[in-house]
Amino acid sequence: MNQNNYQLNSFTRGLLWANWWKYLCILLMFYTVIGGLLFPVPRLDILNETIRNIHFHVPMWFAMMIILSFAFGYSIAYLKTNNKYYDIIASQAVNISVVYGFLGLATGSLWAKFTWNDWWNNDPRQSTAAVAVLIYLAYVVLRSSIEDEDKRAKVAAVYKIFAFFAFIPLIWVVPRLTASLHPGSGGNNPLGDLDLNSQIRIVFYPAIFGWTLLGLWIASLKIRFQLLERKVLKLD
Amino acid sequence: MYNKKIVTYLVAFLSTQLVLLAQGEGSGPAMADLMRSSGKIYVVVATIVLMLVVIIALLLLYEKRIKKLEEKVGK
Repeated sequence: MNQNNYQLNSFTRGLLWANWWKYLCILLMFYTVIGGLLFPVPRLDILNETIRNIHFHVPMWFAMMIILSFAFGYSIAYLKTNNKYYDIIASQAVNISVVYGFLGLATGSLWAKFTWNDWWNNDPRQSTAAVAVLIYLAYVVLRSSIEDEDKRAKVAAVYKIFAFFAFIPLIWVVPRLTASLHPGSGGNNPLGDLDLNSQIRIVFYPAIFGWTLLGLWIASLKIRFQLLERKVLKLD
Repeated sequence: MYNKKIVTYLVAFLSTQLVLLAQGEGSGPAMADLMRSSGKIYVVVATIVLMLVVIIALLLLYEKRIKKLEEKVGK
């Protein structure tokens, strides 16, 4: 398969076909699981040992944010160059982000049941995160409702751009401003020393990176499969 | 000149705090120290690592299959 046939830039070719970051992903995922379960953590009331969830629940949202920014970038690239492969890449990035969003909501709900005593607490961060995931779920539905390929790609790209501008304030800004059960609320920085310490950070930051790379890997496999499909079905 | 009564009460109060010397690993917020001391935490680690190995093996398998197909179609 001549990779140059798709007129993709070199960053995109690296995203789809380079291998080094996949080995890094494997390394980081094993480090996250083993370090996340065995390294010492702060001893806190209410959370007790569940504080270790922070390496699995929170990176879902960071990974979702990073992958959606990729989708945002590729949407703009599609509108600029009209290269339909950028649209394919952007839409698969959103698909994996929605999966991560649902996983984040589910793992958060499970964690909340045992620490905050209810599956749903109407906490500001919970609500805004749910709205954010629904915005992108609506995008998936929208995509499947338009038949014409070019129109679908254009509408999808514009929707992604607006959705991203709504998404970032919803999950970065609004939850910090009000009082909330989550750490990093009421005006506090969620990544600051009030809510994280160095024992947690040595696994937390690599975990974010590892989960993001995992999401990008899965998305890249789906993209490559879709490209193969189009070639075999002679759609190109 | 200190009041004998105050000294008595102070000593009585402080001696009740001797219990604090009995603190060991298990005091403070309850953590999974039992899991750690009995080695059972390693079972949890092994379980999750096994899941990871299988998931990553699947991903690598898909990588290989897609690469083979890509080379075939590219001809």
